Amino acid sequence: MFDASVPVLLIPVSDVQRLYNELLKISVRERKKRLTIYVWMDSWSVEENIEKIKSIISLNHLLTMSFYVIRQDLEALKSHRPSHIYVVIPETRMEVAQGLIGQLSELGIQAEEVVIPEL
Amino acid sequence: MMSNHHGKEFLGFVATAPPIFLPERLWEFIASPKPKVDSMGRPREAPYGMRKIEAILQEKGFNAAIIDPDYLGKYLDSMKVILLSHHDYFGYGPPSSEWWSLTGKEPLNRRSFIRLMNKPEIRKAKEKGVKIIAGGPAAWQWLYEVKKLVEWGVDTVVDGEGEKVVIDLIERALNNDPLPKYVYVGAEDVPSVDEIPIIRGGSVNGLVEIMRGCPRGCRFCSVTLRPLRFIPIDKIVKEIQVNLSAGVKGTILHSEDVLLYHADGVKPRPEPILKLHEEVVGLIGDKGSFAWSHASLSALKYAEENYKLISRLMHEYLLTESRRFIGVEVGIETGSVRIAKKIMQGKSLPYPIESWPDIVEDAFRIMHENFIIPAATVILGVPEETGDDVVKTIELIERLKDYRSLIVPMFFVPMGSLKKGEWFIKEYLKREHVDALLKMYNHSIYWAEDIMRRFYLKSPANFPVRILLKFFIRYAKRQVNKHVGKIEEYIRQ
Repeated sequence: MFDASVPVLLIPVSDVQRLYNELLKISVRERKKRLTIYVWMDSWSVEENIEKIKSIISLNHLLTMSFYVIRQDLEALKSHRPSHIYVVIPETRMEVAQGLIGQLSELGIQAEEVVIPEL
Repeated sequence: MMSNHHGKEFLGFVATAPPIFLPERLWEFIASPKPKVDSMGRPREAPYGMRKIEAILQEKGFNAAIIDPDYLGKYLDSMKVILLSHHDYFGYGPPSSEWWSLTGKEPLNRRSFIRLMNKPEIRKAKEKGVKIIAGGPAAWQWLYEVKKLVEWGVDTVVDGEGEKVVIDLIERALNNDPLPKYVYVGAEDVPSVDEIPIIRGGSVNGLVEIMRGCPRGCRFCSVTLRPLRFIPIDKIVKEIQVNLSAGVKGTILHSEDVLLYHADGVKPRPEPILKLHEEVVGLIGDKGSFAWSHASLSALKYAEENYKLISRLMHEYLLTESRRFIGVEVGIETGSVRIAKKIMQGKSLPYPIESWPDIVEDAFRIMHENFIIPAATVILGVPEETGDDVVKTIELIERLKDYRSLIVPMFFVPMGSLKKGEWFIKEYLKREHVDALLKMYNHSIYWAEDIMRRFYLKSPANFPVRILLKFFIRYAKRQVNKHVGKIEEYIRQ
């Protein structure tokens, strides 16, 4: 069972609808909780990533979503140090995700993988 | 751009256009003169949304105040966070985007905002570590101007009703904690009626909200996604008293559909509406200015035909020697029932959507007979719109020619097209659109002259603005008349 208070690290990909569906599943138990989303920005261009955020927002009217931009140094995560985080991983980006999960582990953040198959 | 538009809300529309025919300074003088401020730079009247955020921050013990942007320099050594709000930061909202697309020139609101953000005071503030948080109804536009967001050092954008999320953000900013780049406030996180604070300073032209949200569910509107809340009458009264104490002599009742205040679904009820107006008029007196922000045409028709509510309101409460009309924004949007069914099925309720053109005409007649002057919007270029749909809209505008009103066209512009820099007019405009634009232009110019002659800006203090506006209307007419032959030829082809 997912816990809606746990933040999410999102690795953007083109099929935003599937990403959003995954976010909904993660926060479905208690939607009143605000959802903190760390968006991995080192892949692709900033513009492309912003397009993904735009699309997620356009799909969403229910949840309050706070988007933090995360780069190699994981700055915001280092400051927040949540005990748990869901890492939403499109299957095709598994390599990037594994690197990130390793870094999170070094920070003492327990990462739980949410893999989206065939994405 | 902080202004009370000479106390005339309609003039705010002029600020959505680019400065054409007149120098920018004169254009600014007509559309958005500087507000009156105290020695600290605090404006007597400020945008209502900013007043709400100011109130909640003060309530929670923060040293917060609204400052005229010209006075930012005074606070360089003391301020920690700058909160920005704007109705249309970058001119992407309607109708700015369409004036921009028609003339090829950036609208005044965009120009003045960019000028503000390029001021040395903003740069110096950032050098001193001041955080910038942007919100307001145009917050979404920052997602289309990410380069500017980075260039100006905007730390966070808040998209949605801010009362419940702003405190956390301010605390983070003051503690130097990382700030989210973008916060979307979902429907579940909007404040309840009890959580909405009472403003503590004057709002622009005395605007006070009587409702939040809208039950009609139009597909082009985001307000409809939020829960419907009625503000209790004692809170409305208190806010009008705040405005009167601040020297604002009048009020605008704000709602997406004023006549639905404590309505039975989408059917207006006379008791709460009459009670509200009785209270309001008791406060502002016979001489105070008065307007509704928005009303739906179906509610206007229903209220008059079932309860004679419009004529009662106007003749028993609102019309006086010095208050000879009231203004309101209404949405026609389309004359095509086919399009209406697609985009605004609930707008005609409690009447069937098939009667939409008749509802529009009936409501316009009711308003004309009762001295209500609407500024009406029409949306052109809705996805899947055909030439026949536009012809239906043209036919409806022709039916409205005898009714005093301004009709403002708005282009439905998908943001993708705006970003490319290729304007709607070049890529998508059909002959029928040109015909519709011409019809709306002729209608609005005819009635604008009538309104100026009979009602508008009559006080001696407004004489210069009146002269400039008259000059502008005449000049615009001359310019358009020069090309009207060619346009009509184009339509005939």
